[in-house]
Amino acid sequence: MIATVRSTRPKVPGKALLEAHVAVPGGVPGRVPDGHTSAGTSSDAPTALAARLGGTLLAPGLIRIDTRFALPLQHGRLRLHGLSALATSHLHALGLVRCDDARSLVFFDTETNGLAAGAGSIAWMIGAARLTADDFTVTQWMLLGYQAERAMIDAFSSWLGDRATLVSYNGRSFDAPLIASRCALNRRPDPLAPLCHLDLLPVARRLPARSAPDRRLSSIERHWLGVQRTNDLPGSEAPGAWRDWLARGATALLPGVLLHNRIDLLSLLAVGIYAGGYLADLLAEQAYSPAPEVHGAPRVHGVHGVHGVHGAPGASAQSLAAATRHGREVQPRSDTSIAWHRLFATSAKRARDAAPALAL
Amino acid sequence: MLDLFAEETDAAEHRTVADSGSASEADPAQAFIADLRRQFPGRIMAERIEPARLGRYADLPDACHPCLREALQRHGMTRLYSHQREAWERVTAGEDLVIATPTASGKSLCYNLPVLDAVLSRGAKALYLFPTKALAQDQVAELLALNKIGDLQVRASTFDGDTPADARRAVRVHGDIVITNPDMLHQSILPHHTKWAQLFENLAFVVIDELHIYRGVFGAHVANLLRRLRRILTFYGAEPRFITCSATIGNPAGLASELLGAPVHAITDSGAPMGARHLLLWNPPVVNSALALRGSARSQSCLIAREAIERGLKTIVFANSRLEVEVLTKYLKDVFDPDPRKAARIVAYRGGYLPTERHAIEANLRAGRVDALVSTSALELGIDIGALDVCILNGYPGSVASARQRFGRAGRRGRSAVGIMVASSQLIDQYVATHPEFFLDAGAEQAHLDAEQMLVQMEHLRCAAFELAFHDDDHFGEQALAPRMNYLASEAVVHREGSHWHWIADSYPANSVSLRSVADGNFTVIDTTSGGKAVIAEVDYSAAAMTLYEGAIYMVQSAPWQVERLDWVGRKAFVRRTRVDYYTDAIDYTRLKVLDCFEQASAGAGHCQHGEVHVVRRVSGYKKIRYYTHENVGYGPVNLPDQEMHTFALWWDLPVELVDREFPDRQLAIDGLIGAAYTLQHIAALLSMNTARDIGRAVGDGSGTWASRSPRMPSAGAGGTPSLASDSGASVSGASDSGASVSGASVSVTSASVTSASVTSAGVTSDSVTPDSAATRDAQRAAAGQFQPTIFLYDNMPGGSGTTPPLYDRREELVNHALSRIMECDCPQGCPACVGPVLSLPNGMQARATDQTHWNPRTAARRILELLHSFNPATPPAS
Repeated sequence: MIATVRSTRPKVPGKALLEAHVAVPGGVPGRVPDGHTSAGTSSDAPTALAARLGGTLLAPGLIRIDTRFALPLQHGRLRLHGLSALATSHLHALGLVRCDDARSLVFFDTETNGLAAGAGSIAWMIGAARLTADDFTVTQWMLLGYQAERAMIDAFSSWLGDRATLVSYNGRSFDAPLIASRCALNRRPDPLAPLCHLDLLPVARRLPARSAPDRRLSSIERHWLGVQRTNDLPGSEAPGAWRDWLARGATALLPGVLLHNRIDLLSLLAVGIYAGGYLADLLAEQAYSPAPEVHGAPRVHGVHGVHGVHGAPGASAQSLAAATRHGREVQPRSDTSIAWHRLFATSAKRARDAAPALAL
Repeated sequence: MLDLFAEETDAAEHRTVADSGSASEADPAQAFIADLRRQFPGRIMAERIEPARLGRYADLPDACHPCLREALQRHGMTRLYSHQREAWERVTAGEDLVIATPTASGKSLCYNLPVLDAVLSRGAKALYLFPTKALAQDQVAELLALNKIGDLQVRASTFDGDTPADARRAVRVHGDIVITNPDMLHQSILPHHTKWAQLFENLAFVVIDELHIYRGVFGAHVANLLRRLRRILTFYGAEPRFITCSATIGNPAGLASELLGAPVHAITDSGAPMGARHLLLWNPPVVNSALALRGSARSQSCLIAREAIERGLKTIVFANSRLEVEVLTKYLKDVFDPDPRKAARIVAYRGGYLPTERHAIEANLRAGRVDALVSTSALELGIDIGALDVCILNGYPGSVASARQRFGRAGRRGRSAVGIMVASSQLIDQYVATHPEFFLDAGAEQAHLDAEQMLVQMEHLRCAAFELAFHDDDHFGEQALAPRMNYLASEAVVHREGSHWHWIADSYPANSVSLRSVADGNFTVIDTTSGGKAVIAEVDYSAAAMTLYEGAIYMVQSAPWQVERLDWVGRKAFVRRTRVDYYTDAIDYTRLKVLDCFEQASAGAGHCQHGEVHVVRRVSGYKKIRYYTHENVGYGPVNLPDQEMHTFALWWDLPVELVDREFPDRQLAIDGLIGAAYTLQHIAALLSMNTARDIGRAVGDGSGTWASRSPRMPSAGAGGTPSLASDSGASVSGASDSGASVSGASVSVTSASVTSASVTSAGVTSDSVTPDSAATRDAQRAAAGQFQPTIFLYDNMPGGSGTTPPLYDRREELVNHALSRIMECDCPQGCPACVGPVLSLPNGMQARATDQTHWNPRTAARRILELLHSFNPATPPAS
């Protein structure tokens, strides 16, 4: 189902991305001429629309679009390599203890009708991507109407399988509950529920700010990764794009939303690589050899305690990673963030206390 | 909460039987009443004794789960009251029920028994709805107690705004019995129903307690909320039974059916034993025979409460407003709590206190550490407050049902109890005082709701569309779905696809719909006395303008705070402790404009119409009123945004030519209109089971001009007649800071405000107002011939409360009652019991008192009503 393969060798940072943007069939980034009308007007209109968007009509009202990004790929300042960028040590540092192969990772993100939660919210687009040795393939399912939703859930579920490890940005509190809600409304089992899920937002919150004003994906991709989006349709306009489609059959903004979603997924991968690398370096710095398995909180505290006694403030980073790993893997829904936060607060305090001592 | 168990009430029953058998002198209640009779002859207008009743019992049902049976027995409960058993039988047979037995008859076991049995024996789940969080807490405590005794392992939990976030998931997934309130169901549970799938899929019972609260607009909201609940339940394949409980009302089965949209069986025959209850109707003595003014209800209530407390009788006094509660508390505290270091014997209880404070008060009450309690209707509901002997109603609470519910708070444990209603000088009270049979013998009123109320239903239709897509074959209410859905589609909130309507807007409809009122955010009252910022109370948006203006004295437990700054936008009032000997009362004006007339019929020589109106209310200032003497000791200006609302109204108009012919001058005609409006407003409140403040009144030309001034004010506007003079039910007496002392003016005081000046002539300071320039212009225009004599009654709530539209059908009854009230009243020229307070006759009228017709406010109002009466057929306009 690979619709397009665009292998771009970037020469200028940012240019590759722009070229990737252009790599949408139809040529021009962003806009597709309006005027073609909604699914109802003629039977082949959805098929035509699917083709124009670079995908196929999977079921009535459901379009699937696959986009392959060849790797390595320059994304802002970061050069995205394939699997090598997310080595086992990186995955472990991110807390994915039982995940040894980045091939099992599924990066995902949804576009909605603009609500944070509730039965009236809908994900009208699901974007998901997998990593291989030399590419990053994004698959997007897009609804042309409500009735295809069940087909979308089924398609996504079977594509996802039951062994994937999810990676998202704020997906634990937003995308996953939303998909769960939509599954319940369509009387389908939630395909995400049994899977391991790494949410990079809480991880990002605990990394140094580096002038990022907040930890929205768009902020950290700009400040941490140096990504400059051009011709990007802001994510906040996605709900309107879909409403325009439903109400008037307007297609002008749809390619923009698809593109935006794809870049979000690229940035998600980049943030994962960035954060994994950062944490893995920290661990390596402390010459910390990961224990075969870190089980249970006492052990985590033990590690923390040992380093604390030896007066190495940086050791807390290790404990952090260990704590994350513990919490996320063993109990996907536990109050990891609380435990983490507590640990982090303690270590930060120690680091503060230590500083004057050193100065003396 | 233990009193629902038979053993304990058995003991009480024996006492009661002995007491009522001999009417012994030893019965403190009897002795108390005998003393009152002796000391205050002539004030008791009527007396009734409701005899004690024996209990009727039945065995625990055999089918009851053994663990539950054991828990009950260990709790000392070996048998049921007959009505509890009947409830069990009917519920297990699959019927929907309403249980309407008296207070303290063990209603909650009627639902807890079948629910717990179903939870234990088949893993069923239940949803309980209580109107308030406090009642929900009570119910959880009761369930947990039984749970602990029997080690039942039933997971019962409240789910409300106080539930911590990390506990919410546990409640959703694991709760067997989830206890919440309609607001929470509306805003949190139904919009997120997919998270509640486990509960809904296994839901076997929906329990709705305090059903009688759900009437009028609130009832219409909840009825539609339950429609939404049913849709969701259908989606999850659940078909639960509904068990509801109500206080005594005239039509429990009717109200329950209206609420649930299905026939419901009522159980009204209580098997619980009951102590004897003595009911007295008390009218304060006439203190000014020339004006037929009676003493204030408040001083009488205080007097009776003091007598009772001194005898060691635990007493509760119900007042009809929060302000009244605080004033009464102060008066009683002055007597019984002189030493602030000692534990308080007198306690106030009302809405607006912080939860922790309320809980502490409730605990003190249950432990019997308090001698008397002064409360608003907040305690009318089933919060357990322990044993009380005497219940005093400071004024008629607005309905027989409500009065009975309040009386029910005394004598819970089967002792002989006393209930005394003290009539105030207001129209409704005096009507009741002169017609004791209305109050003492009549059954409780019927309560109704209109689930088809269009505005309410449309709001819930939006919410329902958000929760689950509508199919063409679905129903929501009686009206056809398609036109309403097309309307929502035209607003771009739903999208039609195939035969379905899907929510499409990026907004939460439930967030913009409040079930209770237009809650535009609560105001918090912040104490800055010692430099701190302690929140001491919360005030509803609707009450803020009337109670939290800068300069207002705000009272908590009768301790005065002064409002120093009001942050209207931030919804905060900053107050400071103060020591003053006065309290404050707001002065407000109302402006009204007819937007649409729905129907019209002739009424006597004029017309009666109903329709939609736009009302603007402005609080212009406040009065300072000294304690005890009720002197008016000053004024202050208030500068707050106008409160605007669209609402429904009912109005009568008369041809101006006719009025000009019938009255010697327009001032007198306007006096008549004002008086008739007052009478009609109160009669309307009486007939619709509302308080006078639920219905606003206004008089005018229908063109929408500011009320210039209270009516009998010849000085104002000189010869010109103000085109519209009105007051909402909530407060009256116009006054400006500039016109504090025009002599010969009168003050009028109404219903909802603390009755202050209306009762003792000595306490009244004349106040007056200089009409603002707009009013003067209006007056001039009116004088120029645009005067259109009209009386408005409107729903005093944004969007309407559904009160006045049905009154249109009773328009002749209203005029009849109002007319007979005025004719029956024994005052010389008008009083709060007929046409509103008249404390000194305006100059113009005194001058005319020698006329043949004896014009005064009362005769003027009577003439207006006669013109509107059906025996006065429409006369062609005079040429």
